[in-house]
Amino acid sequence: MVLVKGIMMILWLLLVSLFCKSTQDGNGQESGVLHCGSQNLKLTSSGQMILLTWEDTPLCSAVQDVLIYELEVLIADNKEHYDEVAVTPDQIGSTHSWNWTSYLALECTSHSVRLRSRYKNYTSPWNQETLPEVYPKDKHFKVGSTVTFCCVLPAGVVFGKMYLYGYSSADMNTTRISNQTYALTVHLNQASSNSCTNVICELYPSVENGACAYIGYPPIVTDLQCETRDLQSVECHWTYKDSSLPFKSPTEYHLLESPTICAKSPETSCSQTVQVDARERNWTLTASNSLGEVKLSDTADLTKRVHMYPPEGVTALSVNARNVSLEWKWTVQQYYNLSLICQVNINNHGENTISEHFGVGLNFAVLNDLIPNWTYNVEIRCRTAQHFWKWSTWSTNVNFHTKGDVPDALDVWMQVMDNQIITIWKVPLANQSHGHIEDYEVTWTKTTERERRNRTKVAPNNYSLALSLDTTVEHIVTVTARNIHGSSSPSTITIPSSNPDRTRVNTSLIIGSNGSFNLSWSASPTASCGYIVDWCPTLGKCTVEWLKVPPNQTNASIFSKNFKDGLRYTLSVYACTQGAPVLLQRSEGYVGEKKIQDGLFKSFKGQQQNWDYELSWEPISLREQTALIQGYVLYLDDNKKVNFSTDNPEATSLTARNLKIGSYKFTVKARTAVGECGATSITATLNSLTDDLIKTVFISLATVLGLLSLITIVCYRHWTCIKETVYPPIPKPVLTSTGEHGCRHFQVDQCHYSEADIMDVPELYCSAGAPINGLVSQENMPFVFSQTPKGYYNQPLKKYIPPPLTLPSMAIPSQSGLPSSSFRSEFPNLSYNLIMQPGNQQSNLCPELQEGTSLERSSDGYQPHDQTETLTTNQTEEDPDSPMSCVSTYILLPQSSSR
Amino acid sequence: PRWTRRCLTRRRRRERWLLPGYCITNVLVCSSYTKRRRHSWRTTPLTEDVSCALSPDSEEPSTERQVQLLHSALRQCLGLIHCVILKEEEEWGELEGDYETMRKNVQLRLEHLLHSTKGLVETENTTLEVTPDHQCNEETDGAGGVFGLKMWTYRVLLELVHWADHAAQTLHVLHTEREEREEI
Repeated sequence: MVLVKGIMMILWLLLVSLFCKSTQDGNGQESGVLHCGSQNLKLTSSGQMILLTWEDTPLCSAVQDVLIYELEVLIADNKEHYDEVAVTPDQIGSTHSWNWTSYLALECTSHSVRLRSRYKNYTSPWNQETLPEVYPKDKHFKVGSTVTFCCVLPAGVVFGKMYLYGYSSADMNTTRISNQTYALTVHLNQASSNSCTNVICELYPSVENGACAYIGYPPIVTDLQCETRDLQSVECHWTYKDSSLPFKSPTEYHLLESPTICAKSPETSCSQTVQVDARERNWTLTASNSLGEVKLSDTADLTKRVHMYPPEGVTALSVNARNVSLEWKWTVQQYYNLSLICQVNINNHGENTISEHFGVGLNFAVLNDLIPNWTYNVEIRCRTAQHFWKWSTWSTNVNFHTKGDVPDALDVWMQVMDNQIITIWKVPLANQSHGHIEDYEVTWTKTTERERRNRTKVAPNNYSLALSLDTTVEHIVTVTARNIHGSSSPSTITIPSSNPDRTRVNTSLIIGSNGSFNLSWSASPTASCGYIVDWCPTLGKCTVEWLKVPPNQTNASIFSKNFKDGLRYTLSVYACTQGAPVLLQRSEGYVGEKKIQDGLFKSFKGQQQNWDYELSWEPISLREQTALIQGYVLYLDDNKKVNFSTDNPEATSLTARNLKIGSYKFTVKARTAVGECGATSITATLNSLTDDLIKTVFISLATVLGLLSLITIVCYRHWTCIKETVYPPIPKPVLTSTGEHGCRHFQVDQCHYSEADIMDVPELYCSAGAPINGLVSQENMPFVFSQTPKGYYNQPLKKYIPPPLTLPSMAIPSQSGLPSSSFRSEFPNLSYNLIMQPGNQQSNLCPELQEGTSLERSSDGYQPHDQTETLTTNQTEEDPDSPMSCVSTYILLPQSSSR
Repeated sequence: PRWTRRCLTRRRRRERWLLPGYCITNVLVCSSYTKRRRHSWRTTPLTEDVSCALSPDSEEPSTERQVQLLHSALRQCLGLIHCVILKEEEEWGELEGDYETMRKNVQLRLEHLLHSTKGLVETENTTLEVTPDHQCNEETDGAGGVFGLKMWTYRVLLELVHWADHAAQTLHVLHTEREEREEI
């Protein structure tokens, strides 16, 4: 029993402990609930009422019973009011609110509210929120007014300063009202810009408060103007100036004293239904905002102020090649009864043309003179014909495309090039072709034979045709373009005959400016259909461009996208006549000049002339240059000095004068409109004149000596050749006669000692049959040694005493002991050799006869003749000093004895 | 306030950067606080979420991770800018002055910066958003009126200045590191 009781006790004890545990757990939950409190407090005010909103913290969700919030209002840190708010469990989690109206204006002192929760016997800590401290907030003030702002200090802070942003201290005055309240009085002389003006109250430590003030104007409205658009209502417009008030407080407008708001800023117009009749009335507009109200009025008869709505539903009907019909509707039926003027704005690729149309209730218009195959954009506006007030706005744009047509006539010109006539025409523009060009047709004929026409087709991408025509007669060339709709009307040009006089005109110079040429010419009576100006680069092949000018115009500004600076152009003016064009004038020039590159002067060289130095160069082709050359300038020593120049562009030399001995750098430049350019330089040294003379003498001497040495060497080395060339071997005479009939004695009258006999040839006399004791032959006829065609020639020789000449019967080799002579030769002959041994002391060109000692050595027994037989001449004795003319002859074979 | 002390403690412990897992909102609040102290104003933080905890012993995150965190902060800044624009237009209407033009430029450049940072550090495992991260449902400064709105706007802009500076530094570090890696 005791044991049972003991066990029961233990069980109870366990139960008690479990209970206690559960109780403790329950107390723990209560403890969590007691952390329930407020959060996100927000304290605002309206007038003198303060409004507090707050939320429960998340731990409040565990609350099972009514939760009490205790609130205390503190005015200047003194408890002024106490209140309680009961929150039932179903309200937990929502936002709670509470309000209280203070007996004091809130601006007077600080108002705070503190809040805590109470659940059962547990309360949370206080949670306090204080109302902002600067008043008034976000209020509107008129510019020019004086306003006082108030700064209320929370407890525990010290006032620093108070001011309006952007205002000077002279306009502000701060006063202390109490320990916790300060006032700032400001004269508002500036409207707020970009929102509102800041009112700052600086406090210490580290607290900054403020408010915003809208400083602006009452409505500023001007220029009221009323009209009618539909003849059933009035519509008024005005201009408005920003009053610097907030977006949330716009200016409101009322028309005709109506209580209904007609418009709000920033709107500047409104309308109201009225009876529109033909009488003048006052139309009144009232504008009001938070700072004031203004009234404006306009007096008008609305029937004279009809501002029409634009035409609606504009459509293009019956679109043709060159005209179109437009139609539209009116949204206001009354317009059909009004006399109207409408304008049609025709937009042609950015170019606008306006046409006017009249009519009662006008709702259509016809447009003429349109371009075929062309897209147009049109818009229409109208007004009443009477009492003009305003044009309507433009209608919506309408596009239409006209139908195609035959091309327009071509603009044709001609160019003569390389004996060819090039007929050229301008590419038809889109507004001229009126459709895709399929081809061109060119016909030509002589003006005298118009019935015979030559004809050819040209592809659509070609715009010229070269014809080889007889240029001595005029031709007529006609060009037409063809598209799907047909051929254009023909364009004709007469090609003039190539009469040189006709094309001869003087060429003048022209200066271009701003990328174009301004060309003028004298009026010509022949120019019945105007003038044609054509242009082309002066040099090289080109495609001519041209401009046609009406007859009453004698000047033109020539511009081309192909113009290039630095390129010379030739511009020609022709008179347009009923026949061939007549050339009137021709000009050459540059549309813009470019500097000529350095090295312009070719073959640039210099020459000293006494104390001058002349620089010369090849003639410059002026037409090939990139600028017009006006002259040349010579610089010495790197542009330090300029002394010499010429204005002649065709000059080919410049001379620097009166120079001193020394080295110079000469630079020649061309003068052009774009400056000096084309520089070419040379460096030269000027020497003393005597130096030059000596140098010349020495050079001459050296040259002569050199030549002589050369000749000597050449002669020495090639003596044999020269000898054979100049003095070929002379054949020896062969004497075939033997015995009594043989030629026993010969006497050669070889040398003559007078100059008159120089050309005489030596003669060989043969005494046939007779004993050889005389100098003549049997017939007393001498053998004549005539010169061979290639024999040596007679040369002038000095006179000398010739030794006796011995003619051996056979060849005898020359003795080595004899003096050598270039003229010592043997003339081989089968039977007879004549040995000529000219004297060695005489001229090389003259053979010298040897003394008879050599003949004594003859081996054939042929003995030298006695003195009487020795060939001597008395002339030697007569004039031993006279030059001897040695006549060497070719020895002929003796004639046969029969002869 | 207590949250301010927490922030300062955290900043002392981790001078340069927050650890992984640290709520970026806290960063905004901390920086806001320092700015506010410097400018001596009295306001509540931009966001009340200061409950994120700091991992005490973690090391400084990698630069890529820092850029990801930066991206997140900039995204919140963009949300705040959107909110500023919304509230200002409610108050003053849609104006087209110099202020409005600059405000629009800031928004556009911030969006561009978000796209740039996304392109730099986005990986297959990490997807970054560039849409504004803010609901714009908060009150500005209680009963402060228009002045309160202006102060709140000012704080948002200071916040943005802070993160723009931070972006410049962090992106420079990232660039330098990547260059060094490429050289190696």
